[in-house]
Amino acid sequence: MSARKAYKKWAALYSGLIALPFLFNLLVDPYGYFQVLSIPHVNREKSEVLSEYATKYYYVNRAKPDVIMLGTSRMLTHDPEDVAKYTGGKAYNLALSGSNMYEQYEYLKYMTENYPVRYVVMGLDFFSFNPENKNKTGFEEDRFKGFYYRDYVHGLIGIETLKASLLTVKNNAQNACFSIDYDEGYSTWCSRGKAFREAGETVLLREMKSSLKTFSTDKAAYNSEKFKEPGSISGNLSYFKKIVELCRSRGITLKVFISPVYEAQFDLIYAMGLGETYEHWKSEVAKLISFYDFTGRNSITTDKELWWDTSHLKKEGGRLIFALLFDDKKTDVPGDFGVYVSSENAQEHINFLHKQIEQKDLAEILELDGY
Amino acid sequence: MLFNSYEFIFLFLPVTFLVYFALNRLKKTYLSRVWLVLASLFFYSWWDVRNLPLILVSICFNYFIGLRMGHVRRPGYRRLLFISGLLFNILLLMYYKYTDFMITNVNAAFGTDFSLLKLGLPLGISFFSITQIAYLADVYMRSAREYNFVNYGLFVSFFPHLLAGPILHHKEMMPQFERLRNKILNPEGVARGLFLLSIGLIKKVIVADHLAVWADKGFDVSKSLTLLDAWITSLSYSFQIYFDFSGYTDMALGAALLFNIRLPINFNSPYKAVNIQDFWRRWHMTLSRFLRDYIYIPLGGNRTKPLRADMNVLVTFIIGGIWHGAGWGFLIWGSLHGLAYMVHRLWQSLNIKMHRFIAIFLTFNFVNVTWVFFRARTTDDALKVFRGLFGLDGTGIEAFPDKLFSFVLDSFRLLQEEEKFLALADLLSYLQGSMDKLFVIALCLFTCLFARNSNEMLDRFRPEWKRAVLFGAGTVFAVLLIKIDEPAKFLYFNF
Repeated sequence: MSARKAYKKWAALYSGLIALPFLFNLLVDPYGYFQVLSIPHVNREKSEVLSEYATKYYYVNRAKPDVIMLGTSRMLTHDPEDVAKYTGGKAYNLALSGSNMYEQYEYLKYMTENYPVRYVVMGLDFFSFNPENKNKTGFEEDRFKGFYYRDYVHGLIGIETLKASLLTVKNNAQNACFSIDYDEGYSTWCSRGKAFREAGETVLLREMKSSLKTFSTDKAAYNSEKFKEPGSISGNLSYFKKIVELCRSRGITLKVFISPVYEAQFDLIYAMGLGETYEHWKSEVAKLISFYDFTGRNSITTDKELWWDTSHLKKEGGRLIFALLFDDKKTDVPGDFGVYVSSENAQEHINFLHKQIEQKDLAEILELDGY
Repeated sequence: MLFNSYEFIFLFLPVTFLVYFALNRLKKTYLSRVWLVLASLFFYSWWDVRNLPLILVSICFNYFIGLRMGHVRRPGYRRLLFISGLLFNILLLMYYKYTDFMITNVNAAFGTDFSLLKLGLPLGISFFSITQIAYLADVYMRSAREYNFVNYGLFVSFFPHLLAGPILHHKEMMPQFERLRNKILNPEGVARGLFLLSIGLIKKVIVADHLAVWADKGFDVSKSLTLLDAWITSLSYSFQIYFDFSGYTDMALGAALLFNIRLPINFNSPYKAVNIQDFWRRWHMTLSRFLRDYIYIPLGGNRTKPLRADMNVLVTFIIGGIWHGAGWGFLIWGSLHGLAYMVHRLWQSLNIKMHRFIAIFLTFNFVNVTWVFFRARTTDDALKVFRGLFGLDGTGIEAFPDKLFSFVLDSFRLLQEEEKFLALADLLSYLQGSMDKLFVIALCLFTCLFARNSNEMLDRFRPEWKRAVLFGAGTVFAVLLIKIDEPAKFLYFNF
């Protein structure tokens, strides 16, 4: 072999070796940014994503849905199939954990600009209107412009990405529990479901208390002085208004509901001093669009069995929500679950719910005393 | 752009390389040089595009002065041009590097309240300024000339040496660009270049950045240092600066080799030096050469009376010290090295032989201790490390001497195996908390004293697959350790 050839081979071998980990990351694609290969039990499920906001962007682009489900993690628990059976077409659950209204608006705007969206089903959460609920780390406006260099860099290189690739392969091979089915966009709650099956109510009570504690201590949820001022929701409300206008201008059917919360969480809102803002919020939403309100005390929000914790309803409950939203007479929905609210009956409805508040100490609520 | 960044390794370098040789292959050799200049300026601007006009002005002005000097015959006018060029570069450097330092000292000395300019130091200014000073001096001495603007731009801005050297002479690099065979892609150059690049990257990312954590903690965070911690701190920095800067140089030389350009070596196992003169022949060799050729010799060098020669040495070292930065620490560091050089000359005149091991030990320790002034941000930080080095703030475990003593004593007695083990465990517990650091430092010391340096490794380089796998794996490991959003800067980018 000539010296020239030997040096050529050496350089090629060396360069090839350096490229190996990146090629591995590209193929395993732990964050779902490239989607070159998707092999069941190898890399199909993504257990190590950096940000749900980033990964969902790439999956929703691949899914190309014409029906979008929007909201926070309360909406995330619901199966898009349960919506698609009413709307037809391809439904995708684009709910984003902890999102505020600006984030939801930006995702919807992107989708309507790029895909022929027909339906938007939106589950509203009170804390999405909290001014202290800031944009999340994984939310990047620049991503919507197309080629977002940083995602590709993070998806290909670095020791953390290599670790994520290895864990993805391991978890897929072991059929581990995956929190989100990114192909459909919804959360399967697989690991909690497993824990519930194994330990039953003990785990449920623990999760409910933990959920109440988080809502009562997190500034981005209910623990905010600013949020006690009813006017503080104006910023997020303006983005909700934009969502309504966007759908109207593009002829998209927008179905809105306020996500139910377990009765203790309903009381927590008032116990945290947010009652005035909460009622103001509902009346302001009603001025923009009619919606279903599933909050308050009813046969679903008082039945522990239907909940993952105090704010996340299981998908069986979600089916009831969609049955009401799409006027499905065949499904048996409890009569006290869900009230259709418009600008005409908003005040009456708010007064009706107000009477359902149980005045309790914060400590009692957090310990679920009497629930 | 940093050599140890993903954008450099995977985008900038491959694209620049491929386009350069593609243009050469199409016989567009002039265009290929234009491409290299543009790519180098892009490389420079990546960090902060606001510095681009500064380097462009510097290149244009120095090119003009060099051009005029080449055409003018009247000695007086040539001298005037040379001095104006020299002043331009020195003033530019002083303005950006030393203004705030001078204002601070004037304020402190005279109680004035002049506000600081807070000028950020433009990247690489120390290097491209002295490269051009050397060029003007060479033109003045008629040992260099460049009439082509693109060639001159390439000489100053060629990205491998632009930010932190090696400091070049025009005649060392530019004739290489003219050689026809250098315009053709050369697999040997590529393999050797990649080999050097990988050594440099491993030195920087795996070794220097690791040591930086310990050095930074000791110098910048800890309020006081025990004997052991102070030695760990100072040794960490001594090895950090060596692996960082020599790693950078290896990468610079490797990157240039890809383009068939050989840059001068800058390091030759400096910690193997047997005296301070030897150290400066091995450490930052191109700076030493610059200081010797353009400061020490013009001052008279050693062809004067001994006392004057000593003063020339001291002045040269002080200038070398403050070239690194505006601060008393650099001044003290330069002065100490100058004084050590004078002591060495005195020792030489006595003609007494010293055992090689002792000579290396003394030189290394002197260099290690003086790095404290170079690294410390404040005088208090320097004093803190010094107090620690001499155990003035405690040894860490006050009972250590007793433990060592009892261990030695016990070892001579007929102890039961279990008791011996306990005595050993007792001693080791003292070192336990710092074991990882001591191990790494010992490994660095061993490497610096006994292993081949990168130039020697390159000389022995053969295209064997084992080497490709070994260095490929090392590079992969280093690349994986690079922080995506913020790769660690090279230390010499601060100077």
